[in-house]
Amino acid sequence: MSWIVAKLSIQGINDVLDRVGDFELAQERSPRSIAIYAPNAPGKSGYADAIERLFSEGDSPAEERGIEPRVSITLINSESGESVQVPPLVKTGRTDDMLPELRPIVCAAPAHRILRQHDLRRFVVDMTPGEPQGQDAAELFRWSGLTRLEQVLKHLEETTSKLAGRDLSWEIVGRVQDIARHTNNAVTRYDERAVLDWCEAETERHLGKRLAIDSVEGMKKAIRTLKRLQGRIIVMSSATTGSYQAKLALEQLATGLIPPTRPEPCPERGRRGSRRDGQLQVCHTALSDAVAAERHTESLFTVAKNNVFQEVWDAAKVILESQITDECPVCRTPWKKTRAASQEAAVITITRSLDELTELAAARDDQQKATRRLNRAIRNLEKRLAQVSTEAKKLSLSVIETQATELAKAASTLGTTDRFPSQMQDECEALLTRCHELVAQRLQPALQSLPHMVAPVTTAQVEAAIEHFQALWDALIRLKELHREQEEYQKVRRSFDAMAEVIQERAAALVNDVVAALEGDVQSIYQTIHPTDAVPNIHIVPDTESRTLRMQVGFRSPDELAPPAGHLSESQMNTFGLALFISSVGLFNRQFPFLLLDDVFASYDADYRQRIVDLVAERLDGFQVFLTTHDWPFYSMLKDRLHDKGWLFEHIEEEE
Amino acid sequence: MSLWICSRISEFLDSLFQEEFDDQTRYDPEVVRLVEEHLRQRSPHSKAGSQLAEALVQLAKARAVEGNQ
Repeated sequence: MSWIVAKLSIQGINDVLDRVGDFELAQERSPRSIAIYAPNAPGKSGYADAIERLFSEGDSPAEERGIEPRVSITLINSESGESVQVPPLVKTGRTDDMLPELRPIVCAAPAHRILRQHDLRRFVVDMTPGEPQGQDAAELFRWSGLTRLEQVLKHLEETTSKLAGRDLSWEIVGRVQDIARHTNNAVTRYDERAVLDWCEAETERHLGKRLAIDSVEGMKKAIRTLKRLQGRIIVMSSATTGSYQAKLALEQLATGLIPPTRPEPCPERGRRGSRRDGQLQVCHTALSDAVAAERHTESLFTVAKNNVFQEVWDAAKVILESQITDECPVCRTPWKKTRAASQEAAVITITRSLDELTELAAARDDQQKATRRLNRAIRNLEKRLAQVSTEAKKLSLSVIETQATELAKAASTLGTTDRFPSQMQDECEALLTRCHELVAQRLQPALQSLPHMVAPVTTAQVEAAIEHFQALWDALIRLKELHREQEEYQKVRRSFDAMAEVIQERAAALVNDVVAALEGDVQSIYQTIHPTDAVPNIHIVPDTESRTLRMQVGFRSPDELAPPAGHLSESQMNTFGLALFISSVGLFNRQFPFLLLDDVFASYDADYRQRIVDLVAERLDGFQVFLTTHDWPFYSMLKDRLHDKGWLFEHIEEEE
Repeated sequence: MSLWICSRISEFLDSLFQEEFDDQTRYDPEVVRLVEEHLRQRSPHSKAGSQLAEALVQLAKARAVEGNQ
């Protein structure tokens, strides 16, 4: 035993209690229990209200009834002799906290210390989870001394939930997207080496030389180098742009005239050439096609002339001279005297001649097309030669410039002549040969002998490169930080999870121990009051989801359990509640074993009085009891049993 | 562990922190300190769970920064 109530003074409840509200409850350091008899109605429940108000925070039944009792109390530690005196307490509102002197004493004895008659049933019935009784369920936890443990477990769950919600992967994904954006999607994952390689390639592209970048820190050096060389790049750019572009144009023109030799000829290449032919080859092909088309047309024309025109005119002449009746309907020549000799032969001859005329017309069309192609090819050649001359001048390639100009003029002359292709064939082939010599023997060697030129870059390009490098540096640094943070976070979380698991396991074991002790104690107390009844199996089940204790009883097998309400009688329910209360204070309130029983036995029949007196005398022997009753026989029996055990007995008469 | 001792939650927590969690090979001392600081009080803050989570995150961040330097 530790703390006991030595003195208690209660005033301000009502007139009756004002007169008898002072109690001396200790003799030296030994506690004295007290039983108070008062008939119904003088307001003895005010004692319970006043004391509960002293030991509670916030609302209490006294506030609910509009009563503001003044309570003073003196507590003594029975072992050390230390005392705590609380003067008449004035609470001014519902938010008043418990007095700081009392807090450690009350917290050391967390179970309920005040039991009213209506609590008996409420503890058993209203605590059943599933009903809208959340506050009461929490109260039961508190009553069982497990409130703080429940709070600790709730906080642990909250911490676990918050930690689980922390996720760095979104920022990591965002930074990797930065890398992809600033490398033009060349690198799409967190690969430091790949990013550095890309940066090296970029420096080569912009500076004409490769800068070795071995680390993220090396990127800063590359950025400084880019900035330092930026001015030189711009100067070089303006100086070399003209020459670079002229050389590039000449290279393209040379390739356009004579493409690079292919390793294998294209088997599908048509007679008129393909898109991969150079312009000189195109001209050659067009010339050959045009000459061939011209000759083909001439050939058909000769045949048509012999076979059609002359035959017609000869036949007409015979018709006009002969005047024969049995004759051709056109020329009135007897069929036997015509060259055809018969009508059938004449029809065949006329048909063939008409076919030859059709073929001739098609050949003339082809010839015109071939000629137009040849003219276009020559004009195109002339244009390219003129460009060669212009660009060669920019690079001071004067011989090439002169020859290209001459050849362009010759091409122009050829393109404007009205001669047939066959008539200018030799001249055209000579021109093409000279063009070939110009390109192959002069232009291409000249281009190869020119110094290597780097593609000039603009200021914007260099600035963009620096910006990309800076962004990539930021992304790599942050990704490194994020991975490091994630690694540390996982370590911390693993350690916390291990702790939480141990606390939860030990807490579960503790709850099970408490529950097992409560079950055994409750059953024993129940049996004391109802020795002749069938004693139910009492089960108190910790419900982890609703964080409460579920009361169940069974009369047959452990598998057939049910809520107490509906299975126990009124007195059995009261006994269940009483047993829970006595058991919990016995288990949890030994540091401050003061308890108040406010007329809780009134609901029992007279048959139970002796057993309850025995229960109070034996089970509450180690407690300091403050008991009130309006049952005079019970009061008398209690007095007989305990008057020489240090108990005090007060008798309050109702005023007239 | 007697029921009497267990029923006093502060002693229950004391026994855990002084015996079980004192093993630095199994539990990170800094994490143990933070859990103790937030949950071992007689009246933990109503948001002690969230505050503990934030303190653990800050611990990880601080260590990451330290490691990066």
